[in-house]
Amino acid sequence: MTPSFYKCLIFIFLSCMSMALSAKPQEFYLTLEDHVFIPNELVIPANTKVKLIIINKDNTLEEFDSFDLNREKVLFPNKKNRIFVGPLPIGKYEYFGEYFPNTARGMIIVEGGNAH
Amino acid sequence: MLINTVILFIKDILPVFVLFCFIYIYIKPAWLNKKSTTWLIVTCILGAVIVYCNIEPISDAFDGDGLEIYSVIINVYIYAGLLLSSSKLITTEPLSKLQSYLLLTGAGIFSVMKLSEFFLFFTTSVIHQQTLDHTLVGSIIGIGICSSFSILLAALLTLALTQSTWLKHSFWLLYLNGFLIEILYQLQQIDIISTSSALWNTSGMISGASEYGYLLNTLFGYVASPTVEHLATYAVSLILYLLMLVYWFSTLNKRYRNPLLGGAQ
Repeated sequence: MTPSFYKCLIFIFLSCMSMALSAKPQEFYLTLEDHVFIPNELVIPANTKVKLIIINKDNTLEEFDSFDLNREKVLFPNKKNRIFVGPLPIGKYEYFGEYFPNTARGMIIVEGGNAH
Repeated sequence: MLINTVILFIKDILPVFVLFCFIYIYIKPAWLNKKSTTWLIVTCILGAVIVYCNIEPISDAFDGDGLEIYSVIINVYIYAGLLLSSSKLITTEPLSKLQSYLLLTGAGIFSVMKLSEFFLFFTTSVIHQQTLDHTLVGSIIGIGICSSFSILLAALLTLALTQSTWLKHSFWLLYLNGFLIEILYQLQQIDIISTSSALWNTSGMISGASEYGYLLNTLFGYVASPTVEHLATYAVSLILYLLMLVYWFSTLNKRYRNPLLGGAQ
């Protein structure tokens, strides 16, 4: 094992670290208003980790829940909450509000192309 | 509203019933008697009210990840308590003070966490939807379902304990694994552990959203579409459990050989 080998290892390690730190996940927004998630369908890119920011504009608590995404988050009134989702393969992933499941429902659509 | 209350009651409170069922059948700790259980229930309800009153500041901690971190700590604690109590699966010796304390406090804080989650729904439902009657009836039905299920589970676990050593250890191991899976979910949600693609999907057979999915998830952390991280969690769970068994076997062996440690002469 020569010193240059160790230098090379350190370089690779630091490169990986900087890539990991610089790779900020893309942000997507969901708003809960009058117990309805807006947008109802949120499109995100496939095989990419995303940050989902959920804003609860209601004056009541809600709990974001999704069996498809394995995510669950209490949404306090008039607060911003965030969860990380993915990387996910192409498909449709349902989510709902546990306290008002009849109105607070939506879907995350994972597509191969550009997301919005 | 009634059905939603029943569903949420089962989701939040059934894990507490299942935990006490496993503790009662597998460990039979000295503290699990009528008097102590009554005190434990009262303390847990008080604890849940305190947590409920402070849940927003808890959630805001750690840059909004407070509830996840709090849940991870509690799940690690109860997992450690249950894992250390595994000695009761191979010996009839009573639990040590440390084991009993860990198990009692772990079961207590786990119950507080689950109860406070249900209180969130209960108060939201009663205050904002003004459906006290539906919420109360739903909760009573929920208690009935949880109690009935616990009796059936207790019968099944008793049968497993008496029929086969393999089944006994498998049920216990799977149950312990459920706590690690829960820890994994929470850490993935706040991006401390990454998530890879699903290895397979059994939603067609048992969907995670179905009643069976709920139940299996409560019992052993069933996931319809597991990832590499899930498999790694199962492996870690198995290794930790085997290490614990080896430790208890070697401790018992030492005691048996050494009369000064209370073994046979």
